[in-house]
Amino acid sequence: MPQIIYDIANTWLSHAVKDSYWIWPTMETMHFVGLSLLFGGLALADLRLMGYMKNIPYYTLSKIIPLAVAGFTVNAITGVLFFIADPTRYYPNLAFRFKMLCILLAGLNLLLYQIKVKPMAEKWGAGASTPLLAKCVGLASILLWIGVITGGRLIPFVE
Amino acid sequence: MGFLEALNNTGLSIYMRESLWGYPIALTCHAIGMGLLVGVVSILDLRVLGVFRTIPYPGLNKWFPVILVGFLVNLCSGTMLYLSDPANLVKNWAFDVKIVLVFVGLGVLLVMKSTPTFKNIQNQEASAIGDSSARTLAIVSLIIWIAAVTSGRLTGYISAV
Repeated sequence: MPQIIYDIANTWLSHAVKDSYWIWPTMETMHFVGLSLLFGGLALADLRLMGYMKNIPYYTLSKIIPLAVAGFTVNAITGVLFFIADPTRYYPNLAFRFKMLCILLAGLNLLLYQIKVKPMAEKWGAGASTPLLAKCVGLASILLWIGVITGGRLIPFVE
Repeated sequence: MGFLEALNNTGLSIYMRESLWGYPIALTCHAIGMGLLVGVVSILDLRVLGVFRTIPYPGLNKWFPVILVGFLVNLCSGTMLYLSDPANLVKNWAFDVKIVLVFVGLGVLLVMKSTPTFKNIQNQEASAIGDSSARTLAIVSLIIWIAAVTSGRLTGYISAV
């Protein structure tokens, strides 16, 4: 393991989180509530991208995305604190690495959405179909976030 | 405890304890189902309260099948997780609280579905919000689901002690 992993484990923040009785369970609960907002919100937008719920114009559903981003922010903060508290556990863990890879790919998928899909999304009113690219981006988003949840949930089982 | 012991000796119960992947896969499905169920119900509650008002109110009807999928995934995965240790889980207060909250939460959702704006949802204006009973239920629902997630998370800590 790189030296920096041991250095992180020796910071006061690492000890503060790890030694506290309540911080870890509280952050884990926040991580699950954040997960729900992130996954539930994106699932609704992604399903519309894939062509379901056609009676709802896509651009109105896309207003939920900031809430999903808020969920992600909560999870990024609590997630970084989990890592700081126990870096020697997470760094070599294959489920953790799979989770980080899925987050990276979901980020690239979001970039593709921002550049290619979002500019044409304004036109999709009630009843409008979506092009193949939008369907693929929506499906990839759902599958990648399922991958993120799966990787996270499996962390304790592959140690 | 005769019934719980009998449950404990069923094939599925033994499988959940002894197989390498049964428990982790059920746990993973439970987190994915939670994301759908709690996430979509919360956003529905927020819309009923008037947030995301551009989403046409009649369109909310299409969210119930998504919520149902999340619930069914969690009913199945939750039953399997429960069978891994039936006798001890009922003694776990956080687990008991969670089960009550989940079913009260579903009851609140069903009652909300029968309030005037939902009964007549196809004729609501796009920018409509819930009537006062639906809005009250939406606030109760948000509190219940956050509490359900919290007690679900605590279930793991209490059985570990």
